[in-house]
Amino acid sequence: MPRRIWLARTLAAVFVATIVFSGGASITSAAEDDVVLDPKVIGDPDENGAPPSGTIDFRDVDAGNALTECPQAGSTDNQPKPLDQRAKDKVEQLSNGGNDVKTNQDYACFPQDETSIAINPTNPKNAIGGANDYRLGWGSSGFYATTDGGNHWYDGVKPFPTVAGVARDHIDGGGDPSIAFDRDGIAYYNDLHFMRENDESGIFVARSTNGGFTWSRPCVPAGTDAAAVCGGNGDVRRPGDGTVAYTRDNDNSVNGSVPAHDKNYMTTGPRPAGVMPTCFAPISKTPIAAGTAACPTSIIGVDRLYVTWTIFFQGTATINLSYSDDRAYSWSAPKVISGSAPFCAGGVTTNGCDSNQFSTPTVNPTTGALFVAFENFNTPDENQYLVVRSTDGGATFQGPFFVSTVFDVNYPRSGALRPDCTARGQGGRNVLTNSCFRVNSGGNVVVDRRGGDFADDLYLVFSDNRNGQRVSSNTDVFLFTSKDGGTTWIGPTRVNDDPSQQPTVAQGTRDCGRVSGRTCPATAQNFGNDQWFPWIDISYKGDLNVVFYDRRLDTASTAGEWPTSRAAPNGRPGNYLVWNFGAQCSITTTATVTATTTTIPAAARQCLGDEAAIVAVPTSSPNPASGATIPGGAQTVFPFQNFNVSDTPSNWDYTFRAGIFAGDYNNVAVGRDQNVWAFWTDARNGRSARQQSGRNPICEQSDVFSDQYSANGGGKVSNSATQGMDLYLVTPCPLEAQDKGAKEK
Amino acid sequence: MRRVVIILAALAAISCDASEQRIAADQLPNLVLQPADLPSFSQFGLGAQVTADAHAGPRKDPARFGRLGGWIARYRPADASVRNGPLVVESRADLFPSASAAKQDLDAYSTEYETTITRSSGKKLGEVAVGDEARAFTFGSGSDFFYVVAWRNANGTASVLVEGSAVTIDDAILLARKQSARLAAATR
Repeated sequence: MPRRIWLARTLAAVFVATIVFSGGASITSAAEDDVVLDPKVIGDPDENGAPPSGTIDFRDVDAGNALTECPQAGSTDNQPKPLDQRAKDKVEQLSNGGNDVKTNQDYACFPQDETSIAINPTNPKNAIGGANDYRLGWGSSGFYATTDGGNHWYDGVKPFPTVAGVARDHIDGGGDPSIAFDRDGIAYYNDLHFMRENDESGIFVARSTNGGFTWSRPCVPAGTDAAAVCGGNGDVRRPGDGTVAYTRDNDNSVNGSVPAHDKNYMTTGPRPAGVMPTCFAPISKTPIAAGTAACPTSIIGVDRLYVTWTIFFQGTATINLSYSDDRAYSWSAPKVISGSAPFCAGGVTTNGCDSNQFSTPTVNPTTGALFVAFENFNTPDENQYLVVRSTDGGATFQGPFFVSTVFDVNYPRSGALRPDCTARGQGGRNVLTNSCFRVNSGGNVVVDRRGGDFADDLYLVFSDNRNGQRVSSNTDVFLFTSKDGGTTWIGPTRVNDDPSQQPTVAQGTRDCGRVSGRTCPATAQNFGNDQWFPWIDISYKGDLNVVFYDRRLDTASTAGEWPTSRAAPNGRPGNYLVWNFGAQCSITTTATVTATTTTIPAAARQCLGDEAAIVAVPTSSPNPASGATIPGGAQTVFPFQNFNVSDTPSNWDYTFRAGIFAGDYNNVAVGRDQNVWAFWTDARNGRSARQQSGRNPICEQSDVFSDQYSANGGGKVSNSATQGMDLYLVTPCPLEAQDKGAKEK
Repeated sequence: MRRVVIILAALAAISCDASEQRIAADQLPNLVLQPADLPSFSQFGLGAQVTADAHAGPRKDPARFGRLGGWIARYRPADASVRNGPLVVESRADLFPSASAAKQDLDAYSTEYETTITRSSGKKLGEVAVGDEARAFTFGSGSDFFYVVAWRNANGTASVLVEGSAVTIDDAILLARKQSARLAAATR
């Protein structure tokens, strides 16, 4: 594990330093700080390195069948209806009250979560969503397409990739969806597939030319470049079509014996000036110039497609990049882009940034410049967000550049500190107060679409617990912006505008219970409500649109599906039910800000909170002292207008598997028509599963929903969003939804 | 001479292992608490242990000590209004190639929960008579307390974790003995 490496190296370095400097030199030691920091590791390896994402933890899922429909709040389709429809319970009636549209059309009760959405640039009524979709009984990649502006949706499961020369019909598990369009309106679905019984995994991209109703089927090729094959006789696919990266297992067991691919995301954009389109040979990945027989210009796309993802292997977690110029038919060889920097410590190589996760790419549509953001864990304690940049289409990279420290080591965490979550089946992950679904700090980066003076402007969001404690989480969403192409960053600006207060020294600081000398209050304090899983997009006119999950509207509830998690340990009322929120702010001016800028010009201050400042680039791995005041905890000016997107509450204890998983991210996209499409998961159609046995009971489920609003007129918090809130706290499973052959009479 | 002694000792160990009572791996699904053991409870987890079930610490590695496999079941009251007594019960069972490997796993249980009690102001409890040898721990605070009994039967280890606002070690021992009887019945 990277952190173990870091610790070992640190201890070795301390040992050497002690020998070298013990001859009377004055040494600044940790003992001079006000407190001594306990390292992250303390017998809990899960605390340390980059966490795996997506569906891999649940590769064992065998979901049961719901023989009768589940609650269907949000359905708008006009298809034939089941014969034995249930009477709607009160929660379903309430949940039908707004204009949120359920995009998955299955009547079964399987979960959908972890959302991605893209809008067709050639047809603003065409949107495509993707999500982890368990309707087949295990994790797969669901798609949801509309061509009538979101009024109705068609859906399905994207075809599974095949592996040439292997006697089985597909690569099993799927998930980690990412959707993108190129400028010609061709849609791409990027996802992860893996086998459930061994370490085989790969990253794939399927292609749709009809607005997301049918998809190409990726093919892992076999043979040689000159005689590569895809499937059997008559398989018309181009060998290697849609295969970004793939690794076969070498011992047929789940033991990490080969590199594991994980947490991909994709984007599209024009090739930078001077960068020529290229195809790649299916086996060797040898570049082939466009215009040759093996790379006809007819298959070259208008845009270059970029996929970034994490490869876990032998204690490292590197961010990798591959690109395609031929509409996903062929892909460049994976290239590690997470690099090295003075602020990365403990890597396999000196200053190597080799423990990372949550990468997201973005391309400037006017210059073709590529930017990739990711969280890095090569740190002694708190983690960090970094960005790399390429101006030559991904051939070379600059950076990583430091964006911010990420305060995510003080989350409540399943394990010794939250045994209630461990008992519910959550294995060593970050969670929030009052619940056990896993969370992370990941967000995304987006580049300004306007070009010109705005071409170097970037906007990045993530969430962390700098304003909370392990015994009382208060995760907030923060925006950082760059005005010089990602080299220099300005922030933080707290995006959520509800009350939030950073724990004081008297209250034990953010590190209470984690750092020696920092004692948590006897009764957990209320520092604010949780916001998490942020995502940002920008309109073509400069309107920033952020979405995130939010608990601010639940201020007093005490009941819940899992009473021991509501009260443990020293819980507080409220902060339980979940809404999807939006936040907006418009950028109409800009000015260059670099590391040498002394005062941020007014033109560059739009959408910045009063605590935002130019971030100093650390010369070594940052380790903010406990007790230090961290920017983002005392903001008084809130430039983002906040509003609820989802019309009803949702109880995430009903998402999936005792409420321990609801996906790892959220999504939003803005169309050319200034229309914002939010696309999220919630459990308004989930119910208590006490009458059902097994890990994946049918009444625990989440669906994926969409709603739309203007890019600069989202509104404000609606009073109706809290209607009937008590009913959502504990909602029984309707007996009618259970298998009639199995339910108790 | 010394070499002969070592060889004889090794042969004796092999012989001992060969005659050692064992639980077969195909018995794993029967080694955890069954719904009949907890009337009025609802099962919310059942199956082979997977990544998400692994705790941090020395028992995290699924291949530890040559482990043959593991099973897990979780329960909670079927009646959502119940607030007293056990509110979550977790039952685990793991099998190993030999009793000595199972002993190592039981020691690993101790290491794991000693870490937990250090961080959660808990304590190790005294002698508990379950299986061939057992350990017991308690931790928790406020209205959420935990009792864990881990033990060994032949080449298997097992544990019962009981969580609730008003629970005692007796709640855990009662269930642990029910589960231990399942391991004993499966020992051949």
